[in-house]
Parts: sequence; structure tokens; C-alpha cells
Amino acid sequence: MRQIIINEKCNGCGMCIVKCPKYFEENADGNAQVIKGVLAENDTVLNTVISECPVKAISLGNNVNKKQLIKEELDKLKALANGLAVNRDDIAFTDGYSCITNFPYIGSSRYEYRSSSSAESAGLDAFTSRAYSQIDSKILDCITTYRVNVIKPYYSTDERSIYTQFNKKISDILTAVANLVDKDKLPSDFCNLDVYPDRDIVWKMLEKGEIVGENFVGIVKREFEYSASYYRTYIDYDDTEVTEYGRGMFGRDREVTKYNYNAQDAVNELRSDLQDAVRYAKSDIEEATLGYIKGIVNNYNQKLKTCLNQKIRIVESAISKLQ
Amino acid sequence: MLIELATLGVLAYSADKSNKMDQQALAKRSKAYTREAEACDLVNQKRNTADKKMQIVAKRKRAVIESTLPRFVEVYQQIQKIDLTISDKNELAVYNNFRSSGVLQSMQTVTTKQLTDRQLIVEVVFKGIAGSMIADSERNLSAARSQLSAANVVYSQARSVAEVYDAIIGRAERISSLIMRMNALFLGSISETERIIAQNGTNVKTYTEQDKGVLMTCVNIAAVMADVINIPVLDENGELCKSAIEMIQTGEAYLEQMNEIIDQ
Amino acid sequence: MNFIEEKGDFLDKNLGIAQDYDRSNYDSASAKKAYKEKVFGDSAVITDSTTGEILHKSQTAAQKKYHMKNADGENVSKKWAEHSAETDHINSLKSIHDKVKHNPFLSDDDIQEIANCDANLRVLPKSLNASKGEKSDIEIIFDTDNGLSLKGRVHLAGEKIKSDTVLTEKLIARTGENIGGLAVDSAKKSVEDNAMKFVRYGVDHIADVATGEKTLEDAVADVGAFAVETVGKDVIKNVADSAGEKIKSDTVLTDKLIAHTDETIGGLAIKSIEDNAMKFMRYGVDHIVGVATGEKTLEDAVADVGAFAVGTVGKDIIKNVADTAGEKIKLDTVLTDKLIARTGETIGGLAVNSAKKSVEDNAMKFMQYGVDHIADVATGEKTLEDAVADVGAFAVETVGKDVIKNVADSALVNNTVYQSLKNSGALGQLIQVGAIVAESTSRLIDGEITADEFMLEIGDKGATMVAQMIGSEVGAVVGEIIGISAGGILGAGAGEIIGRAIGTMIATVACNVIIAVRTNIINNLKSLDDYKLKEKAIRKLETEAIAEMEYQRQKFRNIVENEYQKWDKNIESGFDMIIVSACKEVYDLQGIINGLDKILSVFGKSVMFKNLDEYELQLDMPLKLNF
Repeated sequence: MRQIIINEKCNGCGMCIVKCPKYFEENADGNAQVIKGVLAENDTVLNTVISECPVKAISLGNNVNKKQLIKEELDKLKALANGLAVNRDDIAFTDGYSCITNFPYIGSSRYEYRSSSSAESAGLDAFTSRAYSQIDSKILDCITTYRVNVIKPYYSTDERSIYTQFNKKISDILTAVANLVDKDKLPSDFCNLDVYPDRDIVWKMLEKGEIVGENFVGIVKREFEYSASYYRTYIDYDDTEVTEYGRGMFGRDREVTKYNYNAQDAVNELRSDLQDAVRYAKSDIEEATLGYIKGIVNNYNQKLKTCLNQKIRIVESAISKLQ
Repeated sequence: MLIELATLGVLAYSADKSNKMDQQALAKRSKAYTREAEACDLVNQKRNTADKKMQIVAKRKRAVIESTLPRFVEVYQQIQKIDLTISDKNELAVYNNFRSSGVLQSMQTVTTKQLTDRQLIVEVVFKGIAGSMIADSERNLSAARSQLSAANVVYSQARSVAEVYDAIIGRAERISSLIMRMNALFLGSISETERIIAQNGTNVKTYTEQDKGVLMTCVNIAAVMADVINIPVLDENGELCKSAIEMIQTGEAYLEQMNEIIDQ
Repeated sequence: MNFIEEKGDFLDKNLGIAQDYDRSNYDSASAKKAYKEKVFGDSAVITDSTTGEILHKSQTAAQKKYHMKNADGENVSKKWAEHSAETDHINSLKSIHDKVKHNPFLSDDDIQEIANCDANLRVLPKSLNASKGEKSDIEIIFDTDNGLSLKGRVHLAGEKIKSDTVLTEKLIARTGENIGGLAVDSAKKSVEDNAMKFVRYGVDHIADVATGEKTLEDAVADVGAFAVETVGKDVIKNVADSAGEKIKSDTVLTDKLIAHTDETIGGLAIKSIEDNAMKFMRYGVDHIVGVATGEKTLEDAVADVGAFAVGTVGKDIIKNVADTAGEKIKLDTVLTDKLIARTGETIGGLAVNSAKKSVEDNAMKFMQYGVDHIADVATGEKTLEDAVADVGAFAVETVGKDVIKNVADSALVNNTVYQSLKNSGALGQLIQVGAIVAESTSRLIDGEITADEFMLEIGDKGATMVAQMIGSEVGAVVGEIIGISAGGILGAGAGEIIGRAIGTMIATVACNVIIAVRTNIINNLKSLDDYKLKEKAIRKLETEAIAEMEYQRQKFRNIVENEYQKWDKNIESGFDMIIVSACKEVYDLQGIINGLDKILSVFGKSVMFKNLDEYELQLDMPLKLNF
């Protein structure tokens, strides 16, 4: 039995896959790959395909020992038996997530205030109601994006779930083993691995955003201690002469000084302060999140171990039966 | 200066109720943000997959043109002159249209406009200090509910966009598979033709009907191959495309309306 | 009249508060320092009653002990601020300034002294002070996010009540002293003289206005809205006319008006000074007569001459002239029957008693008229702002804003007066309040107390009531009650009016404000619930959108399904046909052609050569292939 080798010349025309589905399958990039665990037997179709490959990318390797190969796969399985490890780096709350976006633009008002202090107060009011009042929301936005993008794989079962991906890794190995061993000797569900952690309360709370969500807003707010009035100093005002027609004594015109405000500096400052606060809270956020996730991952690892040990035993017994 | 307190008890109760409502509001906002983040996530994933599938289609087409076609020319030109044109593949144009229209509108945070002084005063006058606090929380909760509504619409649009990408993926996979199979057929036919020519020479008039058939089949397959390679993944004038555009545009119109109301 | 000399007395103490808030006028670092020393005594630390934390007297000490840095030496939190003690005002300097800046009887020094008294100071953690910022104590007390314990909140509340009470008492007392001081300055004069003082003070400024050197707003601003508004503007006319000048205005004064006035003035020439007062009333009236005949709208008339003077005095006087001439003049919006009736009585009554009264009685009357006018504005015919637009809305507004705050702040008032009000039912409440002022007035009239003492009493209770009343009804009823008790002496009509004048002088501030607010209350109430409408709209849109989008998705899915089924069927069957044909013993050319055709049918195309003849025919030509 010889190994089949496809080199990098393969251009993905797919002829071998069409003609020889027993040996060849499509990989994620559309090129051809040898089905795991399948070895070349003396096969005219295979030989034809090898000779007809337009870029001559297929060749046969050396003879191999099936038992040896199975043992190699078994070792791979055993290495994975301890399951997943998760550490701070895996769930890093990077600077991208602390980016505060979409604060409304509060530029200059019209010149409609009678005094600098009333303009300033109006500016502070506008700032408070349209920007400062949004603080909790902005923080929540960052944390939610972090949760859905980085943490979700730890509490989901779709293709992006780390459990699905880990399961697939193992499942591929099992398929290879199944191809090497006589399939009849294996249980029909041997290649399947459908292990997931229990959907416990932590999982559900993560789904709902109750943890790594609203509860983290407080963590960030501990680092943010400015009241709205602190930003008064960033509210600018400016004045100009405005003519009021017929509003003077006896119906004459008069010139009045009117003021306006510009609150944009305050908004920019608020945004920057909020961003800093989120960044300061980074390690607290990661710590707390790690705490939540570890429980789920451990649960998975336990279940995986049980399942995998069973499969390993099957493989070992299959090896012993091989000549 | 003359704010006076009645019994702390009465006001404390109101403060409590207000506190509970603020919790609710935050929970709703959390849901809303989650929904929006998941909507973006969904579209991103689908887009990535679709991109990949499109690349595979391109790869298959390229493989045919670069490997199989030269072989055909080499073999068949012994029989007949070949006038070959290879045109630029423009299949990504329509696809890119979809990609850009599938951009999800960023959901505006529905805010509670903090009351102007005068409104606040009126509230306090008519509802008393405690009442004013509750009204604030009520408004906050209302805003959070509205935000969740907006997020739901955004998510719905994301699902529509995902459907379009799914359709694209399905079509790309089919075309990819068709090219593959046609190519295999083509290669086989080229080999057959090569054999026949080696056997019979280049004077077709001396061929048997059967052998002529082999030649003709090879040319037919070549022509089919050319047609297949020129199939766009998305046909702008097709019903599928039109329906997809209508679907996406309906969603966008609703999102725009939603934004207008929120903005007032 | 010797205005200038009298002015000197008035200005001795530099009364009047700087309108623009300048913290440096009112803050006192020394007072705060002394207070902090007092609180800490000999120790370096105390326990803060609000947060329950340890507070250090020295900021450095707190920083040293509680500084929190991360591994890189950056400050990541400011816990030390929770343990560093700062001295702060319970009621902020700005809020006190806001409240009293229009009180013409207080000075900046008074404010500084009172605002920094011990009852208004406290020691608190720096972090709480910083996070408090401009938030009132009420906001802090009810803010659920700031981690304060219930005990801490109760403590804050208690401090606030204490500070409020003490400040109020002190400010009122000082006001009274200052007023009293004025009264003492002119000890031999009557209460009305004091009133006249404001008038003259205002007049000096208003004279400037008449000659064009100052705008009316500025004049008003300088003296204080209250005094000038109620008294001074009326006296403009006095000064102007008695100087013998005719005031020219571009649109309002008609020849008819001037002519009438001349007649009137001439006719009254032999009367006493009180008649001069009558004179300018008629002056205004004639102008309004022009209005009534349709030559001009009331607003324009009001606008051009000075809304308040004409608006308040003139319209009322119309009735006077009208009635005495036997005419009934109808005005479009402002005059009510009540006003007409009241005016008739008033003037009649005054005419009878005018011989014995001084001009100052008339001054009181103007005030009352002014209030009446404003009270009628409240019925919704006109907004207050429009009525006083030209003379500087801000006068009313600023006075108003003060009291708005009071009204808003005093949802529940803890004060003996109000307590007894609360307990005795609505009418009883009003009567009680009225009774308090009425009492003082009766005693004045009976000669039990001197004018000085009366002013002190009224000043005391008046300021308190102004701050705590919540409705112009109270002011009105107060007036009536005073009138009832005073009526016996002065005669029913006059007594009632004068009583009312006093009551309304006190309540004028409240009245103006409440009425101004009231016209906007309906609109504001509506906008309060706007958010509910918005939520409804969004919810409705959500439901509709999601349903429609789902419907579209289903439509789309169906189309996709159809297409793919067609594709899969034809492609599969096409390939099947080809494979079957290729595998036959005899190469089935037609079968292959059919198979290829089937595949191409999915794209609406067909095979190049349908039979051998077609193929052979073109062998001599180049084969066109387009990849």
C-alpha cells in the first residue's frame, strides 16, 4: 500500500476528484487532497488519473505500514485527549474593542444667547443630554462587541464554536483511522464526535448578555469618575453683534451682543476619557471573563475525555487485531 | 435652596422602583447590542464563505484555461484551425454590487433626550420629586425598548443579506462542480481524440462515422466548456438577482424609516 | 423734588447684588479653612458620616496611604480621593446667588458672609465632591449608582434641611435688616416713602431713558426689575410730563392722544399731585382709545411706549375715562369684566379718598393693577412674554426663574407655616397665610406698629411667603383678606384694593412667575410623554418591517429553490445521458449530443454541432471558440 502525494502544483481543476472520488476530495481552498487514511491500491483508474493530471501534481509515495500509520493517528488522539486550554491571550480584550464610536456631533449653536454664561450653560446642557447621557450605552456597546466576537465561540455550537472545531480536528483523525482499518470492524458512529458542554446557567447568561455584558458596565465606570459638569471647561463660547430691528426704544434698531456655544471639544474629550476608562478596565474584564469561560471549557474537557477514551480503546483493539 | 424633604420613606420607595427600571433598561440595551453584533457577525461569516467560494470558481476557470485548453489546442489543431479568444472574466462585478448593498446600517443608539430645565421643572411641580425620578427611568426603559426594536429589524435585514449570500454560495458551488465535471469529461475526450488522430492521421475524410463522432464530440465539449466558463455566477437580469435586490432594498427602506423616527 | 439728595441715603450700604456670578465675590477660603480645623480638631483623621470612610485632613497623607498604581506605575484608580477631606458648601454659592441676586436689599458682602456660615459648610471626601460636581444634593441622595449607603443618604438629607433652614432665616433676617435700615434712614417717613424711594431711584435712571441715553432694559437691569417694573416705568410719564416735555414716539402717539392729554392735563391743572398720577393714567388711556377704535393693535401700542407702563396702567385707566365719560370700551384680549369692575370701584374709591392719601397710594395701586393685568394674562389670551417684550423680558424671566426653582424645589415644604397650611385644608391654608399678612397690616393701620416695624414684619414673612407660595390664587386671596380686615377702616372698596396691593406686592414675584410658567405647562406636559409616542411608532414599524422582510425572504427562497432544482435536475440528467452513451458498446453519438444539450439548456444555450453533417461542413473554416 503506498501513500498518495499531491504536490503544490495542483491548480484545482478537479479532474481527479471527479474521476476518483474514492481517493480524492476537495479541500477548503478548492484544490485536491487525498482522503485521510486512504492508501493507494493497485487501481487502473487511479493510474489513469495520475497520468492524466494536467499539471502532473499526483505521485505515489513509499510503501507504508498500516499499523504504523494507525499508531501515529492514535498518538495524535491521545495528545488531544486532555482537551482545550484557554488562557488570557485567547480572550484578549484588545484595543480595537475599547474604541468608542459614534458620539454625536455637537458643534456650534446659533448665536442666540444673551450672555456668555447662559451660552456656556446651554452648551453644557446639550453636551449632557446628547453625549454624556450615552456613557453607559457606549460602554455596553464595546463590551457586547467583545463578547460576540471573541467570547461567543466559547458558548456556541455552530461552525465557529471552538468545540465544533476541536471536535472536527478529532473527527478527521478518527476518519483517517477508519479508512485505514477495515470499516466493518468499527461501530457505525465511530467517526462522529458530537461533544458539547452542558448549557448551564453561565452559558445562558452569556447568551443573554447578562454577564460579560451589563454587569461589566460597573467595572468600567469605576475607572471613569468625571461628572458632566467637569466638562464645562471644554465648552467654548463666542460672541457676535446682532442687529435687532425695531426692538429699541421708540422702535429704533439696536445692536446686541449675542453668544453661541461650541461643545465639540467637550465631546471629544469625553470620548477620549471613556476610551481610557475602558482600557484601564481591560485586565479586570479579561480576568472576570476567563473565570466564566473556564467552567464551561472544563465541562467540555471532561465529557470529551470520556468519549475519547472510549474511541481510543476501540482503536487499540483494532490495532491488536491487525496483522 | 429650599428643597425640602418629606418623609424619607415615601421617596425611598420611589427610588427603589426607579432603580429596578434602570436595571431593566440596561438589560434591554444589552440584548439590543448583542443582536446587532450578531447581525454583523452573521453577515461577515456569510460574506467570507461566499468570497471563498467565488475564488474557487475563479480557480476552476483558470485551471481549465491554463491546463486543459492548451492540450485541446495542441491535439485538435492538427485537424482544424482554431480561432481562440480568451476574454476577461467580469463575474465579480454583480457580486460586488451585492456586497456593497449588504452593508448593514449602523444602528443608532436610541437616546432619552434629557429633559430641558423647564420640562423637568414642570414634572417636578406636577409629579413631585419622586414622580420625576420614576419618569426618568420610564423614559430610559422606553428608549431601551425602542433600541431593541431597532436591533431586531437590523437582525432581520442581516438574515436577508445572509440569504442572498447563501444563494450566491449555492450557485458558486454548483458552477464549480459543473466546471469540474465538464473538465473531466473534456480531458477524457481530448485523450480519446488524441488516440484517434494518432491512429487515423489528420485527414478526417478518411475517418469512420464513429471516429468522426469522437472528433465532433470533442469540439462540442470544447464549446460547452467555453459556454460554461462564461456563465456568470450572478445573472443581473435573472429573477434571482432581481428578487434579491428587491428584498435587500425593502429592508434598507425600513431601516431608514427606523432611523428617522429615532432621530426626532 | 429733591431726588438726588435722597438717593445718597439709599446707597449707603451698597445694596444690590452683582448680576453675573463671580465666585470670587462669595467664596471664603478662610471660612472654609476655619471650619475644617473646627471639624478635625486635634486629630488627623475623622470618619465621614456620609460614606462611612476614614477621611484624612491632609491630602498628601491620603495619597500616600491609598494611592493605587498598576505594575507600570501608572495611576489606574484614584482611591485616595475617597479618603481626602475637602470643605464644601452644602448649598452651592451659585445656587444661593441665583436665588437672591434680584433682591435689591442684599449686598454681595451679605451673601459672602451668610453663604460661608458653619451651617452651610461640611467636610466630605474629595471623590464625592468631585463626582458631585454641579449635582444638587437631591440628585446625589437619589442616585442609585453612586454606592452611597442609606445611612449616608439620610445624613446628607439632614444636612441639607439644616442648611436650607439656617440660610433662609439668615437671608430673610438680613433682608429685613436692610429694609429696616432704609426705613430707619427715613425714620420720619411713612412706608410709602420707602416705596417712593425706589420710585425715585428708578426715575433717575428712567429719566436717562427718556432722554435716550440708556435703553429701558439697561435701566431696568441696573435698578432691579421689581422696583422699576412696578413703579418706575409709571413714573417715567410723571417725570416726562411734569417737565413739560411731550414724548414723541413714532407710531403710537396720535394727535388725538396728545390733544386729549392736553385737555386732560389742563382740566386737572388745579388738582393735587395725586391728579398728576391720574393724568398719566389717562395719557395711557387715550392711547389705548386709539387702539379701541381700531387704529392700532394693542400689542403695537404696548410695544412702542413701554409695554408694562401702558399695558398695566393704561388699559385700566381706559375704564376710568370710559366709565366717567360713560363709554364702554371693548378691548380685544386683555380686559376682563372683573378687571373693569375692579377698576371702576378702585378709581371711584380712590377719588373719594385721594384727598387724604399721598401719591404713594397710587403707586401701590399701580402695582395692583399690574398684577391684575398679569393675572388675566394667565387666562391664556396673551403670553406674559409678549406683554412685556419690549421692556426687557428678562426682568420678569429672571425673577420668574428664581421662583420657578423655589416652586419646583418645594414639592413638600417643611416649615411651620406650610405645615399648618397642609393640615388645615386648602381654603383654610390660604386664609391662614392671608391672615398672617393681614394681621401686620391691620396693626399698622391701627397704629399699633410703626412703619419701620411693619416693613420688617412684612419683609420677614413676605420673603418667606414669596418663596413658598405656589399659586397666584394665594396672593389674590391674601389681598382680599387684607382688604376685608382693613376695609372697615378705609371703606369697603378702597380697603380691599389697598389690602390687595400689599398682598400682591408680596406675591407679585410669585404671580408673574407662575403665570409665565403656566402658559407653557400644557405644552411641556405634552412633550413629556413624547417618548411614549416614539416607542409606539418604533414598535409598530418593527412589527411591520419584520413581517414584510420575512415575506420577502420566503419569496426569495422559493425562487432560489426553483432555480436550483431546475439546475440540479438538468445537469444530473445531462451527465447521466453522456455517461450512459459513452459506456455503450457502440459509441452513442446522439446520446452524448442530447446530454450536452440538456446541460446547456439550463443557460438557454444549445450544442454547437447537432449532427455530423454540420460538423463536417465547417471543417475547412477556422473553429471559433470564445473562452
